[in-house]
Amino acid sequence: MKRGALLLAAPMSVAVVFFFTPLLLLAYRSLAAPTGALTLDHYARFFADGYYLGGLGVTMGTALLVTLITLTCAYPVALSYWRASPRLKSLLIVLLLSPFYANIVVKVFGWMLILPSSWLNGYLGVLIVSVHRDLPFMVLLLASAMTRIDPDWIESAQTCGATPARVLRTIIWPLSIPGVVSGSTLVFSLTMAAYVVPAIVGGPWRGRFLPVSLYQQMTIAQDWAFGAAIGVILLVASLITIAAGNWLIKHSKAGVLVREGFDA
Amino acid sequence: MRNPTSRGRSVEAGLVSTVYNVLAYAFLLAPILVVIALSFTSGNTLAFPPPGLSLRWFRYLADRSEFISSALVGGQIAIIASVTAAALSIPAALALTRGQFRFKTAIEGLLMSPAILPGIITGVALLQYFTMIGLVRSFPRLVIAHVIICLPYAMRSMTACLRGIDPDLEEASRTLGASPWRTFRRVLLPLLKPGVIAALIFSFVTSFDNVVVSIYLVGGDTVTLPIRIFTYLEWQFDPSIAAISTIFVAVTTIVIIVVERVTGITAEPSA
Amino acid sequence: MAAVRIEGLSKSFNGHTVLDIEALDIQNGEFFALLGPSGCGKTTTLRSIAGLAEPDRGRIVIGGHDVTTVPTAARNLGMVFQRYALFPHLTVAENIGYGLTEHKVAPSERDARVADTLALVGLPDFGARYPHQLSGGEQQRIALARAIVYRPDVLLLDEPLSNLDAKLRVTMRAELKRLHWSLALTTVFVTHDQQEALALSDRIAVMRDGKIEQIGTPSQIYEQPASIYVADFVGATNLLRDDGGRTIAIKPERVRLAAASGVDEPGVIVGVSYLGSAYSYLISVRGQQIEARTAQPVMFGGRAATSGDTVTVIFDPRDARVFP
Repeated sequence: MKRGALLLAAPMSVAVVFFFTPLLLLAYRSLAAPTGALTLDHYARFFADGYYLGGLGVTMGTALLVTLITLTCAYPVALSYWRASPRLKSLLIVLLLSPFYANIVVKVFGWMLILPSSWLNGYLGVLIVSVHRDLPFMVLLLASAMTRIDPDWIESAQTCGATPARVLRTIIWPLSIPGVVSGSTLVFSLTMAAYVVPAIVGGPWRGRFLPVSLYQQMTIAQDWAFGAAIGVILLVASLITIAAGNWLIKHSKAGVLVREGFDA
Repeated sequence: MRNPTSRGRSVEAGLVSTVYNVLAYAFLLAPILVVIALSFTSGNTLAFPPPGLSLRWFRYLADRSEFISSALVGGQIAIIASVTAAALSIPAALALTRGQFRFKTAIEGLLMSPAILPGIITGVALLQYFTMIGLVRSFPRLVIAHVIICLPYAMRSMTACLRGIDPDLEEASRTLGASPWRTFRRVLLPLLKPGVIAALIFSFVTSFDNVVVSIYLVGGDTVTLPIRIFTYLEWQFDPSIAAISTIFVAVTTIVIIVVERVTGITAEPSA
Repeated sequence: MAAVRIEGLSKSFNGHTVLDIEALDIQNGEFFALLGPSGCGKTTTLRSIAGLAEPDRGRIVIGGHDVTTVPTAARNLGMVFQRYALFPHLTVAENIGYGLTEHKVAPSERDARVADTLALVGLPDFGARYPHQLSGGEQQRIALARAIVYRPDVLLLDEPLSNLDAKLRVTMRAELKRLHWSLALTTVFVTHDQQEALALSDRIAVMRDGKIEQIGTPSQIYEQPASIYVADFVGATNLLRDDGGRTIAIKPERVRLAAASGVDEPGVIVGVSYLGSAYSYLISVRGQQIEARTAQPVMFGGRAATSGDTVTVIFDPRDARVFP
């Protein structure tokens, strides 16, 4: 055996037994008819039913909307963070790391205390709280990509006569695209798969979100095969998003930064 | 690399930017601060602003045994899961950073995938699986599930630490005649301490905080703290929820600060 | 092109003065060098002219206009950075053409200008390439092209040759000189390499600890250094102490050796080095060390001089500079 491979025995066994096997089982379950034969009935049921298909639309549409809003709100914050002095940065980073020390349920609770109940139990509540949840991730990923932008490029553009607006448009924005894509991909996936927020503040909209729908199938309706199908559909949608994101980064103009590791 | 400056921007632009940022950070902090503030209310409801300050709701928590038991259960699960994940991550990280074999990147990707997959998928898959293999009790279900979701974070800490350790140290030990086990024990293990601590702490927080995977696997008395709070949010709540939330945030914050200190102070792994 | 005037420029950092220039006048069309070791303030001066560094006090005047409070983008400068700073996501042609927008060059004319400038720097077919595909020397020339394409008032060069290997540096020196001659741009050039400064400049300012030690033509700086610091920094110099405690500076190539004869205190050769283009002799005389350089090896009676030989050290007092 090659050097070191044996060391993987324990972790891989655990992963195979308790992660990959369950996933395969899930996929299998989604294709299983009550008789035990393989069938696509559960998927057919999903796509034929306006309620569930609409649910996919609502889930993906909300993910897209939340992503766009979060990106718009986060970009200026990331810019300022990038330009901040080291001292200010160490203060701001504490605020930006809030997802790590305040649990999502606590944050949702906080919004329940702040927002008027008319906003709360419905789509608007989901939007606001989702944006709040995702904002730190987007800012951190954007700022991280911005650190690859050499300040020399900005000064050089200034000496060429570029106004601050032009510098932002032609230098900063294009070179921050990898961060935009990685942040958007993450936020999109997080929102697609989010359960807690729609469940608590979704109001009449809760069941339209697939993660909640999935939970209902598994625990209330006890239709595990159909639930498995919903799970697989969600998984596939996430994987496609991530793959699309990676492809976009590689093929963007700023991809040259990532590809060649270029430091002018 | 130098910091980019804001030279060239007008005073108005600078002002707008500052105002916007203040609002953005206020938005980020608002719900957390409101919860903490209201946990000290002397009133009977969660009306904001609070009529006065008091510790009564914290004292009331002592009577709410379900919160204490949730915290304890969650803590036990987190300890077992984080120790297991950290232990598993050591050979995994060793193999991935020092080993030479094919498919290394693929295997690393596979082992990190629980962090990328949506938690609901993992939760549903494990629910079906545990039922199928006859594992009915919630406690072991949660422990196993948490080991799986913590493993990527433990591995990340461990590989980061290992990559910072000069491989020449191990080679030197071997040329001096030490067996691989002795090399590991006498040379690597002491230098891995920061990595182990980071792995333990990230895993602990990930486990203790987890909601979406756990929500499929909790049952009976085995309900972790965030899920307990979650359930109350759906039905009824009073300021005691705020009190337990404040404690929750405080504990997690302290743990994070400890990580910072420990991984900061013991920052030079290669001699 | 325009003249540059600096008045009363000063900057402190953490209580430490990094820049203190009372007055500096750079003539229209001149190739002017700021020469000194790291930390002497030369780059800070350049960046102050560019508007990238803000001095605590002082005025910068370009072409008769006070630009002290004018932002960099409006100063009509061209600047070549030490690491070239080419925009990695733009082609060579887009890089060069970047400044043409704000400098009011008509869109129809832009392509022609870019092509002309590319030809001027000797890289006519490079327009479609990306910076990461270029060698160091090519990047440097594109950076230069980008800075001159819109005919700025002043061209600023921040140690542009220091990242190139020795041979390339010499080639690029000639290139810079040729460009300066054909474009007649006022050029301010920062370097720590005194050979470069001597070879390229019309005038040089030698800087030390934020102040200007001396301004002069290359030959003035070299032959008539105003202080021991300048004498020592520019070209190898012998620094000798006389009986009165004064310092005498004499260039090694002005020192001759002859056979020791009837001199009270002859010198002794303690080392001989072959430099390729010259021979260097290290002589110990009267308790001091002096270096002599000759194009041909010194011969005594048909034998090459070597360590241990006694010699007389001779030089013309007019070639020496005395500092009290």
